[in-house]
Amino acid sequence: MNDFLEVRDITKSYIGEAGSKLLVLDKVSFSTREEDYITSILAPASSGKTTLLKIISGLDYQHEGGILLKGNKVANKIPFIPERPSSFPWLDVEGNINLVFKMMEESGNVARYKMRELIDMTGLTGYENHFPSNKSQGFRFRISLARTIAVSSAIILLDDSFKAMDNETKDELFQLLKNISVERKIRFLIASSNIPDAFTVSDRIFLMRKNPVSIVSDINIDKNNKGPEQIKNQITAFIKEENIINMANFSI
Amino acid sequence: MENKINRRGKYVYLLVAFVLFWIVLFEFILSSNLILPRPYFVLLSLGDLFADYHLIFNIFSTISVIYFSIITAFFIIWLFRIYLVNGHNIIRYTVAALGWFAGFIPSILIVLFLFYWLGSSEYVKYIFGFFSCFILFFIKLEDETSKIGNEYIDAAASIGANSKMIAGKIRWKSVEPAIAGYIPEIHLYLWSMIIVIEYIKGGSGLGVVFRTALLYRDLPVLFSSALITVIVVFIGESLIKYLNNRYFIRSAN
Repeated sequence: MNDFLEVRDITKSYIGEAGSKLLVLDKVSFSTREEDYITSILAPASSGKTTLLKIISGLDYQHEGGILLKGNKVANKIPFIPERPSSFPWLDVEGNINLVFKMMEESGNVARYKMRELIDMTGLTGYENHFPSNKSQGFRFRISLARTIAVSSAIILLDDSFKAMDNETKDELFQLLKNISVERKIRFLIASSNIPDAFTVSDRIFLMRKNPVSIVSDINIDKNNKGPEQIKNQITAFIKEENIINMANFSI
Repeated sequence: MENKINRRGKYVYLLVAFVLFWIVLFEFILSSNLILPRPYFVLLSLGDLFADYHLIFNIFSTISVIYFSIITAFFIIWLFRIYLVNGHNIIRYTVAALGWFAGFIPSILIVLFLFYWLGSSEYVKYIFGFFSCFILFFIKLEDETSKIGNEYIDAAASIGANSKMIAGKIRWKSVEPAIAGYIPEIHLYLWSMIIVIEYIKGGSGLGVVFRTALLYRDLPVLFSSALITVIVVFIGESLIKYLNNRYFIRSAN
């Protein structure tokens, strides 16, 4: 079994308002495997998940430790979908996706074909010229997803993007992520504080504790042998047993 | 949208009612008064306004200052947008500090200093108009830049956008509607200030028409020129709003 994404001893601290040094991440280490298409980092709210994802993405480079992708140092930034809707409201669906092609200096029929494919894949067909303003979170997420897939990265990071969505939308999007991960061989690393979301969508879950953040355990989701309720109960029981993560900070 | 149209319709009815009220009251009942002119005299004054008060020339003079100032200041902000919205730099700090400081200075004091330095030169209007617009745009830009959501910048950076692209395609695009939406406010402010400057300075412009009308205590001309000014401001503002909706305001489609 080969490691796909390897996060090694990530430590991050900053100087707080009072002048004291705050340790946000303390030697966080974990690695995902080739076969883990969707991995979740399950951690309490405000525990540093976003910071960790930004470090993995390459957006925050002031930290200690290293990140390897398929055994190599990450050369480019890893696409990251933030918690709040990040589709650009001044561009329509096509414009949002086309921005990536412009950056990669791709144009003509190839870009048009790729765009068509991405629009169809993310369920945005018929909405090509619609703008994200006043649209649902799910719609805006689909645009962000199409845009990040256009980058052709092997892995995409999602930061608790489903937090404010209703269950029906979440189920649709989880299925979409699963389909895309299999069809396009794209891995997703999701940060979440919602236990049901994490076990519904993930192949593997890393549990993180707060203050300072470090990985406590990883759980393989065996969906073939266990039903969703059993898995949920397993995770909930595990968190309670460990007694190191405040349950109040999770959505169950 | 429908509410807005209904409201507009009510405003028009109200305006027509006011005009009718004015015609009836000041034409037939209070025909001799010093409050508002007789409608008939206002109609007659239009001829004087064009012939003796050189309305066309003066109104063109005021309009040219106002739209030159707005267009030039907006264009300069747009031209340097990548530099202005990207991070912190000395120009941003300097202009922001000047803008903050200017916020405590009544505009008329700046005008007085310009009169002292430049005398009755026509450039006073242009210099005041341009710098007022530029500083107002800049303060708005500073204010709006600080509100840009990090999610847009993070998302763009993570898909490979460089800092120039983030500045031009993300930061500027985020603030552009707010900057453009601020133009109607600047527009009305400039109209007020430029008329005051022209009134004090003399030379050319609508302010000169008002000053002459007051000098001769010509109430019908004062009234009709005020009416024409309001109509021109209304047309200007409508045009600005149309252009804003056409080019800057995001579609809700």
